[in-house]
Amino acid sequence: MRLPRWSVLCLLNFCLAFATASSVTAQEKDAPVTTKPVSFYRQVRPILQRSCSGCHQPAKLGGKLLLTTFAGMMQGGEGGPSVIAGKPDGSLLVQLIVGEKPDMPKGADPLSAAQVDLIKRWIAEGAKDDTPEGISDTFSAEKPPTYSAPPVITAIAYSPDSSLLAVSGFHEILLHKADGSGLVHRLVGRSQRLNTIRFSPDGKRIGAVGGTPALFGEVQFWNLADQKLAFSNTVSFDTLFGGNFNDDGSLFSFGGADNKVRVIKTADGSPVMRMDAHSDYVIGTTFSLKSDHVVSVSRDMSMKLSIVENGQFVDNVTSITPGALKGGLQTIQRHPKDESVICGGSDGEPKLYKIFRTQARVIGDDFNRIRGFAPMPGRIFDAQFNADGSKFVIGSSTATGGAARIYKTDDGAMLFELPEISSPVFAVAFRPDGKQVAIAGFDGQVRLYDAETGKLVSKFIPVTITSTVAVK
Amino acid sequence: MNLRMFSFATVMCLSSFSDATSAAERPAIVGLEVYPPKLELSGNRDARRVIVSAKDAEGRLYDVSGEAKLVPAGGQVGIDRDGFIEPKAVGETKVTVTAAGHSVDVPVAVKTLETPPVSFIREIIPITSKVGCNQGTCHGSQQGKAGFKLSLRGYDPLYDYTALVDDISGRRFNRAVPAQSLMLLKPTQGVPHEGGFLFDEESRYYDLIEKWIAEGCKYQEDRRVERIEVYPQKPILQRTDSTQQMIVLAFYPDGTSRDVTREAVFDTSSFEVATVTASGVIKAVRRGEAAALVRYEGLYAANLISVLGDREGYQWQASPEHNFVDTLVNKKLQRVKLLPSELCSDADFLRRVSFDLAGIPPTSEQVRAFLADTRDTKTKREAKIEELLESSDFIDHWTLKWSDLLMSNRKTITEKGVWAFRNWLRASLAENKPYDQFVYELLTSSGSTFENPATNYYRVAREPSEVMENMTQVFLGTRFNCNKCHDHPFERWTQRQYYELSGFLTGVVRKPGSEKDEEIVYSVATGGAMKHPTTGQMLPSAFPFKLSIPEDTSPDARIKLGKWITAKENPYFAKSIVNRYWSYLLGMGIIDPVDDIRAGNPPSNTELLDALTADFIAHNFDLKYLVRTIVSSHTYQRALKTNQWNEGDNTNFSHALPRRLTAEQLYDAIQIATGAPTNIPGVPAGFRATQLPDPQINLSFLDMFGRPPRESPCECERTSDVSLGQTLNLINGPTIADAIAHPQAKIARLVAEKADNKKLVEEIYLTVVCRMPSEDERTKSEAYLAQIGNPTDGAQDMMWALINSPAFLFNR
Repeated sequence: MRLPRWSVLCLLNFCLAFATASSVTAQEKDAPVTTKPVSFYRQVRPILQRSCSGCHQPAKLGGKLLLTTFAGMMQGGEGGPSVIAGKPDGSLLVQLIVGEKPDMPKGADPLSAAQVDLIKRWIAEGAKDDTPEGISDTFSAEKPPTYSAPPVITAIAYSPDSSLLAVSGFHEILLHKADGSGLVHRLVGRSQRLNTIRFSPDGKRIGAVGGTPALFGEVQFWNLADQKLAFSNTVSFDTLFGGNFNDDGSLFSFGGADNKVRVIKTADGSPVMRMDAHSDYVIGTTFSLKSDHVVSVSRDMSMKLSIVENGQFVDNVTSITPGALKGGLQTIQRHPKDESVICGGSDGEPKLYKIFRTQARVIGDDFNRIRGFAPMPGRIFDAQFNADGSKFVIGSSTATGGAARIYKTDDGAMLFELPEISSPVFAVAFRPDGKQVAIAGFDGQVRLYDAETGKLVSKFIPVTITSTVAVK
Repeated sequence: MNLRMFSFATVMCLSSFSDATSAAERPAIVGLEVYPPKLELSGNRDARRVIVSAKDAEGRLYDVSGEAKLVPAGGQVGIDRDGFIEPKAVGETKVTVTAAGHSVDVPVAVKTLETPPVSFIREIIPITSKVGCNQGTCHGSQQGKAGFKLSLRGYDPLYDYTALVDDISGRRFNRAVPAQSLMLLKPTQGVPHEGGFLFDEESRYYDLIEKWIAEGCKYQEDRRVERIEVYPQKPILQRTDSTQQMIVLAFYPDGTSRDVTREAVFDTSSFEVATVTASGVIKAVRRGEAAALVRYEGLYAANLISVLGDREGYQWQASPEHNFVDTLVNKKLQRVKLLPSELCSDADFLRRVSFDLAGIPPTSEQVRAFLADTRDTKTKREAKIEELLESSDFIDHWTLKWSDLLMSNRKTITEKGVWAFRNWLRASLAENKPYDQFVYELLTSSGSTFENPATNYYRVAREPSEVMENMTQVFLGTRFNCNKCHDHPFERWTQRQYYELSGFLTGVVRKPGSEKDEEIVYSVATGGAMKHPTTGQMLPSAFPFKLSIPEDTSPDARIKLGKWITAKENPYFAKSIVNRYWSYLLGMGIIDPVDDIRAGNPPSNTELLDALTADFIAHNFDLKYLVRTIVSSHTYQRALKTNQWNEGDNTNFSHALPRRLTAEQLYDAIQIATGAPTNIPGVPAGFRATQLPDPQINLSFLDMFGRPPRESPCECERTSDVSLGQTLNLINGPTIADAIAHPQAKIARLVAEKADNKKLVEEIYLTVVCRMPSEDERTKSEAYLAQIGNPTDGAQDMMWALINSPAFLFNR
């Protein structure tokens, strides 16, 4: 009994000591040195970020007030507008942070006099927003990102005609020739990270999901013909994962860090359904053959079946996957020809499952499992069938290393251990013509292998490295 | 009377160092001392700080590190924003340190400006520990926090690397644009972070993490730090407003070192005495002692802090030294400016030593005889100690203690087993079996639990890991149970070691014997491998630390284990029993709690514990010798009464500490004091509570006063707290009332002998509190008896009142 209590005490003690130490440096740094007008972006926003955004952020919205954006602050919360331009003393924000024992920040040290003074001066000077234009998408087709190092590749995809290979970059999708012989287009968007890239079945569009961690999630649809953004949906306050078209290309499913599964119409991005039964990040989704069901896998270790039409949860396909470790399932793809799925996750074992039950469910059962395959080292991150579903390519990571293999679906045989892989594999793709597979991940290189022989054909870095750092 | 006991207990709990510090001005400073006196820097991140002390005419040191001005003579070094001396160019220069009107030059040599890549293990994980990311209330918790989990306090670097680099396809870093990495945006509040703001973009922490990401988030199995050292060692803070900067150096196997003061995590063992800031500054709070606890990369160190406060007028006065115990205790007392109490009275000594060695108080006849002994105090006390050491009560008392520690209980070893085990313990104690041999016999025992009762040890606990946990706690004084599920959060023990050590016990087999309730214990050869619960790896048996003893090739793993545990080279084995016995006799361990020896729980007097341990080993693990050494000391024989200079001291053994009688001592003392015959159900008449074989003998009085149920080997199982229920039981309960009024008890006998009031008073004082009444007590008591008239009633009242006094309830 003595130890745990002691440890709590010392942790508390430590936190307090540290908070004091750090707020001192913050105060010193923020001391006003010039009489130039106060900048919201450079001077006020950092104070809000440090002292206020823990509670007044989109995910918590304490007092129904959002202080992570200028608009949110001006709109105010339960108590009315936070700021009245030109009237610092009449502004609620100021009233709450001044005085001997101010109400805010709650449970933390009061803001320093210098910080309060900055905020008051900024309000007195008109409370202007000087945030640079479109700060969260600084990049555009005209001003594309530059790279000081190859970015980690989180998603790759072949076009249906096998001519193009789409690769994720920082704030962009890089369209390369499928044989790796050159960059064709750059599709630059808002999201820092794209976790999945998919070509529509007709090859005319690209759907991608991602976002900027801890800020927003986004679905992007691009028209390939003119490389223009068809639409962009901002969804939730963190990134999205596991995007997938249905077979006729009319619907698109994805999961999110908000533990939800969503389906939208590809025509206009309008919502079709949402499913809330997962209890952790939903990392992969796929449609049934008839597009009436969606199957999702999550870090919560479950594979769930739900109805597209109304979002109703039907079944845990795997129950609680026996042997699945914490960290759960990370990838799922439906077989091109039948109602089965290949999935993988933390236990490293690729598994083939029936989507629909043929026996009544029993707690803890594993009736839907068709077969397992020789386990991969580490955690499985991505898997993809070839066009007829007779084979699949799959990649895994041990954090300090990785592996990619091609398996035969029907008898479980491992066809190839793909060579020359020494770092985590996060993304794999099987070229629709069946001749090639692409592997990518941590090291930022794309590796192309001959799918018939398992030999490395070529490898390339999908971006141009310049010596300068893109953003600081 | 009970109120007195209450208030006494309260005083005991609350007694603290007195804090009468005057805010005296610092005396005139005659010079500065700087540590280290010179610096050598290798590599561009090898920044180091120095401790600056101002010295007064009497050689007392005052830390002025915070106010000292550091000015480099040349451009080879600079001073960074934390006051560290950082390398700028290769070459030699000096830094002039100025404080309190004095200056000292510190030579500094910059050897190289190499830029080694940032190391994840050596540089990144310590940051996550320092700012608290991996603490138990945040991402280090069992479930992590907000979908992100780190290993508790960074004990598993690969797990943390995986979480930061591999999870969700590398979500938490951005190699292309390091500043856009989630692991930098969260702690700087660039994006919302419930854990709050932890460091800013200009900090060293930010720079290091950004650099590590830009270098490609590399993971390499680095040379791990071998040891850490903290300076200044055992600092004395002169005043209650003093502060002291510490520096922490990490040493590596190749002999290099780094200043890790900024990455080390600090804490205090007692924030009532001193606090420690995140940057390693001790701040005195009040007079007393505390340990500054330092943690860095899985290593722990404790630095004993003494806050002196105002000791104006203190002067050491020589105190008699009976043996080396007193020399070493007194050395410490002088250091922290305490004066020991006087030697206690002969009557107090007799009562104390009788309880401590034999578990029972002296009879009135024994008290009279001892007081009448005209030999000099030292001689007669030593004679009494020898008499007690050779008494059968000594065997009873220590059999009880060992039965507790080894958890003898018919629930696990059957009733016959309990008696057999008790006999084995008694025999071992009677022959004063060397302690190493005693433990070795237990650990390697084989055969019938009835014929070779030592084998009951393997019946009490049946699982290898359970035996191992009990074994380490009892024989090594360490807690090896935290690291069952994760690496020990306060010690260097790892989860892996838990299973490796348990592996030695996988070959122990138990099968039913021919007799009812009998079991046969024996060893079979196994691989000795245990499965690691998280990695699934089979771990062969191995010791958590190597000893310089010849390797044992015996096929029985338990022989290897027994030799390793009981080796005189084992740094925990002898030390832990010496400390445990010390605590039984002095009321507090030199390390306390006695069965939680670890870096963060340092001894209050290292030299004393080391000397006692060495002496014990040199005398062949002789337990009676150990007891004799301790109780012969002046330290043991000191009075409870304090003086002006030691009234607040609870940890340095400058005076006796009062201890409530244990359940069995109290029960037996009541029977002895009242003279009532003992008749405990389930055992023969006359059997004393101390002699009971196990807690299944039903006597609720004992349970109320903290008899341990023997379900855990923790010393804490026996409680010595004071509760209202106990007090009510003492005042109103049948145990005392029946014993006092028993027709064969002392009072009935005295009254039958027609003893006069003088004799009654004297006898009652002698039998209950083991001393003669004072003149005042005698007068008042006789007056009371006269007033009541009926000698039985009067004498019973008096005895009842005395039994309910702290003089009876406490060993003091």
